[in-house]
Amino acid sequence: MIRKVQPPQRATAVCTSGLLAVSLTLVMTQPCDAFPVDFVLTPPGEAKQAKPEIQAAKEAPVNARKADDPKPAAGNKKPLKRGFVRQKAAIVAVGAAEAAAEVGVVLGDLINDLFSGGNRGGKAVVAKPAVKALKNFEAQYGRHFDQVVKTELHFIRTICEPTRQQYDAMATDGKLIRTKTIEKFALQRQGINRGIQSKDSNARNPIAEGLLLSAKRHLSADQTAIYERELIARKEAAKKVAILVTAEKLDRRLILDIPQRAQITKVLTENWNPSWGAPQMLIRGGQFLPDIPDLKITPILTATQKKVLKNTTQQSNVFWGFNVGRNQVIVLRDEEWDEEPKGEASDKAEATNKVADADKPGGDNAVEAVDAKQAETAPEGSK
Amino acid sequence: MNKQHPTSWRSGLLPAAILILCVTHFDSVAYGQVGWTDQQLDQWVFQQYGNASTARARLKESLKLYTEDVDQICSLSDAQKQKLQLAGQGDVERFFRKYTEVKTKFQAIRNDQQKVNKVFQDIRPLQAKLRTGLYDRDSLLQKCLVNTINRKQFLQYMKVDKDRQRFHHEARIGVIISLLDQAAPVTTEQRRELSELLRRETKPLEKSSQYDHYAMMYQAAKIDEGKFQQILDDIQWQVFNQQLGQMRGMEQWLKQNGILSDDDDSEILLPDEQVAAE
Repeated sequence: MIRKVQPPQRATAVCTSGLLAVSLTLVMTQPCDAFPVDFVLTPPGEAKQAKPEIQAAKEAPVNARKADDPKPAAGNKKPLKRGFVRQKAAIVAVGAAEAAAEVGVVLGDLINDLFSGGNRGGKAVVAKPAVKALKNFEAQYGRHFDQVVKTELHFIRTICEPTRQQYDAMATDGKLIRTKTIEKFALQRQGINRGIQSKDSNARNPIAEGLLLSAKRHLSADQTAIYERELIARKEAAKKVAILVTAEKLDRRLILDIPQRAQITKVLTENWNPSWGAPQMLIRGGQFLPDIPDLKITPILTATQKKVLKNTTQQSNVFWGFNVGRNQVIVLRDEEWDEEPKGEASDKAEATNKVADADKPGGDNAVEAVDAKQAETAPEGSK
Repeated sequence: MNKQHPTSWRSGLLPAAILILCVTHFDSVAYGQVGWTDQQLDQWVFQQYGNASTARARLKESLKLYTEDVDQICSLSDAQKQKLQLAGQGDVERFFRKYTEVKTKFQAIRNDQQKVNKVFQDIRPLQAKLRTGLYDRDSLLQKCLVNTINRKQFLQYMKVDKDRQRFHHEARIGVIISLLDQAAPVTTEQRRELSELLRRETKPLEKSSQYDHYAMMYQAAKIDEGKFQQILDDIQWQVFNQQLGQMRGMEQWLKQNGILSDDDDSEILLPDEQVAAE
């Protein structure tokens, strides 16, 4: 349900070795408008009525950009030189083109804002990962991102109880959000390879925030509020755990007393850094200590504790890469709906029934049932 | 115009150096002359500390921290402090005595790769000891503590120690739920129910190491699956079960690395309680 409206006229990221390092440095230090292609998302049923306002919505950001951007119009675009990154090809490579729509509401700009930290207007550095790097990245991690989107959609379904239509619309948005997130993390990875760090490495956060935007368009206000509340609670819980674990690490090293533990927890809460919540930091309990605000912590400590802390290596220069959950990719079952039309789901049910029949003594469809059972146990991808 | 880069001649040096190193290395391997150094042994044993002297200094600092903590809780007399210090130093010496034995053995066979591999069986317990700390339940320091302080002091100490263990346990439970949340999100209510279940069904770890999470997940994997399934839906359980599945069957590995002990259920007893128990 997505249509690509118009590729923007933006500076292309330079791919030659020296300039790339500079541009990536800029990208990682400034809000980055990494997704300069607009998409149209269409809520089913609103297609025809939405047309005039959609046209206005489509034109508004483009006009705004034209005003800021001195680049020539689309017709006068200069051909890309060999060796330069072809942004359009990169987008196509990750499957954005599959998301086509008739008409709808512009969500692309909102998502662009989301992924660029809400700071656009032509000043942000435009950068996209190189096509080959993006393809490799998607080949390697695409299924992990699929799983993150799928589990997030499942979560929304559990708590917001959307209709089938609402869910499908959000699932379609999910494809766009997945594409953008993959681009973001592919770019981030290029930065990491050059020693540039990013604070928040959790791929689920941008996906959840993108789906929240989608929820605001497809779900009722009450449903959206439920999801928003849960997202806030999830972030709070993650922050609380990361602070607790950091305090625990300090306690193991410094043997804090009860008031010290409370004071240090307070200091850590006030100086929270999302990188403390990286899974490796949580799992490798005793081994790694994150970069904590020493100057605020040392006044709480005794002389011996200060000495021990001084000798403790803090992981200020370690970045753990991105996080798509520590699970291996598994084949998650598809969402089931009560009004499931005759299709895969009913085929599955039929197969199960056949197996049940075959188990009955004297059943004469045993061979068919074995085939059905095999089909049922085959991995999703092989079907 | 064929301008040569001024540093290009240097780039040839690196492959040449690598080639020389490889030839030297393969030559020694061909004759079984691996020739591991003492520094290498130190790195294997002391890992993050790097060498024996740094490790000794850090262990002494830990001892000082420990005795200061006990003193703060129990208000020790000078004689009690001295006894604890001596016991702790005894633990450090005991560790280094074992290290010296391994080193002597290593120096005799350092050129024989197969025999060096066997020495690793002796190195592993030393690594585990450093990972989990010298002053555990079997240490001279702990034994001395039980025999040195009076009942009132002991009860005070145990109260604070239990509180600390609970604090660490809460953090470990939080990590399990947080990692599940990252892989398959759970609701606020599910988070609360999971915390309660894990608090009820798992125990604080006796020994601490970098593998605490694995030890906790191992405990979680032993909980009746039905209890998790009452809290989680099918997809959440599918994801969490995969995480737990990785931990099942790791008991031996956890024990080999000193993370789990065989007698985890035993309580620390005062001398008079020990007599009564016998």
